[in-house]
Amino acid sequence: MLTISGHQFTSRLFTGTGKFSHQDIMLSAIASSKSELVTLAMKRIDLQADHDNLLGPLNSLGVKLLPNTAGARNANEAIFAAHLAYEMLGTKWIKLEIHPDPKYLMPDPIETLLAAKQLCQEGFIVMPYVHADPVLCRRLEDVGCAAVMPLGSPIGSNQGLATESFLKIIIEQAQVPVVIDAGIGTPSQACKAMEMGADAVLVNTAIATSAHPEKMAQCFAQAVHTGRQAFEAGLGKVNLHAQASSPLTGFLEQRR
Amino acid sequence: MRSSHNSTTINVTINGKAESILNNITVSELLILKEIPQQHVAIVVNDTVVPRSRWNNIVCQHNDNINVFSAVAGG
Repeated sequence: MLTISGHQFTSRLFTGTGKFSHQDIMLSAIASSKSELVTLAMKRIDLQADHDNLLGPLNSLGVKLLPNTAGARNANEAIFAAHLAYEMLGTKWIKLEIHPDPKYLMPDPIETLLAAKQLCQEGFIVMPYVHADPVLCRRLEDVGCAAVMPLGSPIGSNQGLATESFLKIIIEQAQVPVVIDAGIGTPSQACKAMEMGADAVLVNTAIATSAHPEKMAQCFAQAVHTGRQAFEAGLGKVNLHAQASSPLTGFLEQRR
Repeated sequence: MRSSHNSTTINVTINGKAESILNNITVSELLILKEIPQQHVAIVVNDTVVPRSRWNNIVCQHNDNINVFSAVAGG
């Protein structure tokens, strides 16, 4: 079972709540995914508009909330966002994401490390979204992050595990859970991440923008489960040459 | 510039909009006045997050910049 900062998760599929066409569809997809950790963003309330009740239905699903710091462009803004989230939701769990560039949404490693250090010192359970940089992941672990969340490819791009070689190094080195976040576009990619030994994956766009989000959420749940089972069972070694699966005794030669 | 408020009202900015509100009301009372649900929101006054435990004690001041945040869908 996956444990992050003392909290146990049965499902290794984490989900985001963004980009769904309707809140009801989002809720049914999350229920189908069996996800137990879901991300949220924060924004200034529009005082003229009706206030959507997002949290009531999410709480009734029994999921743990992981507010993010999306919109923060530097460490100070991210720390501020974490404080906001704590006051708003009463949780010290925070998905730390600092990406000042809207075109590629690449996380800023320097600001992320600065913010992570401060927030960990303040007792936050910090899960930083970072590039697949093994050195940075170790540094984040050193300052006390509860997990690391390296990207597979740019957020929402559906490009899959473009960073595969580096994710493998991170997984090999990490002493904290590794959650592959961002870019996973298909269940097979999620399965692959789990086969590689990732502790969990976080999927949003691929489920939310599917024509049938509820069905796609089930597909991801199956893929993540299967990938993890395969990892635990132990994958075979990859060889350059053929390795015979049948006895090559040359029995046809023995007819003569 | 000399402020234009009188003894019964003060001018504040709420989520970017200038408003005139009654003098001597607390953050808690302001939320009720603006019909903002108190659950699951965070209040920032002049760039400082105000802990929920202090909403009943903090009195809105003239020229305060007040922002109310809530959770929205996101990845």
